[in-house]
Amino acid sequence: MCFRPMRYGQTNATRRQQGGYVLVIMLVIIVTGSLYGLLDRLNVNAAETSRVTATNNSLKQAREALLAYAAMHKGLLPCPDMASDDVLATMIGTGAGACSSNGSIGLLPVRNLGLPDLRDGDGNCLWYALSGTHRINGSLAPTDSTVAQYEVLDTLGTALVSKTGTEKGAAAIILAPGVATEAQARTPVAYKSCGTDSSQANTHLESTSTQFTTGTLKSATGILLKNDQLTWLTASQVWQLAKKLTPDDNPSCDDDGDDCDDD
Amino acid sequence: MTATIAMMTRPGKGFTLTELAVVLVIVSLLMGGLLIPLGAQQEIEKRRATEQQLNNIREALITFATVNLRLPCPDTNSDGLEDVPCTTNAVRDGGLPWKTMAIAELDAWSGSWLYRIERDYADTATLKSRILLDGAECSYANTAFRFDCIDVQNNAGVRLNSDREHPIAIIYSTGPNRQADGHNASYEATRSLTPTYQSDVPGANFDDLLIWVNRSSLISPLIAQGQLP
Repeated sequence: MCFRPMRYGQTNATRRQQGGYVLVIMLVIIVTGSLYGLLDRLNVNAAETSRVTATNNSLKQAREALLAYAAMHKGLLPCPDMASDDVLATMIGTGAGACSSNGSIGLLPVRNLGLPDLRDGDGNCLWYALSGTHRINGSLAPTDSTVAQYEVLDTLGTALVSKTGTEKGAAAIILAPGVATEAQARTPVAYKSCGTDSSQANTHLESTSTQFTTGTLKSATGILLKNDQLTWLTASQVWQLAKKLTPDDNPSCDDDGDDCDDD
Repeated sequence: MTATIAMMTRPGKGFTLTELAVVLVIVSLLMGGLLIPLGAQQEIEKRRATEQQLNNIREALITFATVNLRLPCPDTNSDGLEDVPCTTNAVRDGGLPWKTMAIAELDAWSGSWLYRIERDYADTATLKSRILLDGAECSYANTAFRFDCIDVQNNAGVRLNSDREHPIAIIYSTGPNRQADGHNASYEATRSLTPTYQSDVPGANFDDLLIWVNRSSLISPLIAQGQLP
């Protein structure tokens, strides 16, 4: 609170009156500032909740569509969108139909799957890793003994899906990259509809090998180290679904279909 | 005595008008700074709420189809109930039958939901065979698919679906301006007229929120329910 030197004719009573005004005005400013801070905090919380919900919704839709595709194609899955020449005029989301037997990582082929332009809560296109064992351009449909090539870990390194477990590895993984971590220097490509393409997997995903990590991890000093959010289809799930829809055509079914009964 | 006279003749000199004006302007700016983001935040929140409602509607449609082996018909007389049958006449669009589906009637801007389906998916006799139809294209020339296939484009006119995997139902909110924009403002009945709808981020001339259900959305739930194959 500041005090002015008394002017001519100014009395102590006047000063007391002024002090009242100052208090009221300061109170208004403090209340306004507090309200602003409170609302800003609420906005941040609401935005975070909305971001997480949007990511989860997109991952769920993508997983449903892949499961349906697998059911319709005897357990085979579409190739990732590996094209590096997609431009706004043609849109992303069409698998090239030629992916590797060693596994492929690219953008989710949304148009092949009949999906809208799914994005995670941070506006990124979804990524997709496909085990070579389940690729649509492979020569054989997967069977109940097919072991997929991918594994999923949590941020502490605990296996959520392993190749040695009953799930028999992850046949497909859908990845929401989130914001760039400390180690990811992303350079948006203006003419790409996703702002990126499959050649930039390293700047969007924390792992591009056969082990993928899901979840958020920060360093002790608060630096963001990992933030990919994943959902996946295990080889076992794909097989269970595919055999239900296409028992007659499935090479692993007996003629009488006994091996293809529902579990 | 002199001081008393001074007080009587010169009322207490508080703030001058200029000082008060300056303070009021500062307070107004602060309040304005608070209210403008609040207004923008409200609009963003309405959009988020509507997007969430659309997701819920999508889930409700999938559940309805899983239980009834068909999608509900549109509501064409604004009573909130589906108007059946919708499989024999020319394809219709209309409102979402919110009463039939037991969902909220209006979006966050108090607008009604609009809804259109591919008619074979409203028929228990054809839904399963349509879902399992393989290798065919959704085109006017190909009679394996009915000729009311729906296309969705973005603001730039790029198709967002392929011939084969196309929307079997679309649902949309008319957004803040409460009127259908772009392709959503016109109605085309049959494939020969290319029934086209529009979905994109809001822009100067488009603020609708549109989502769609495709056939793959129904496959896993139907298998889980033992309805497929």
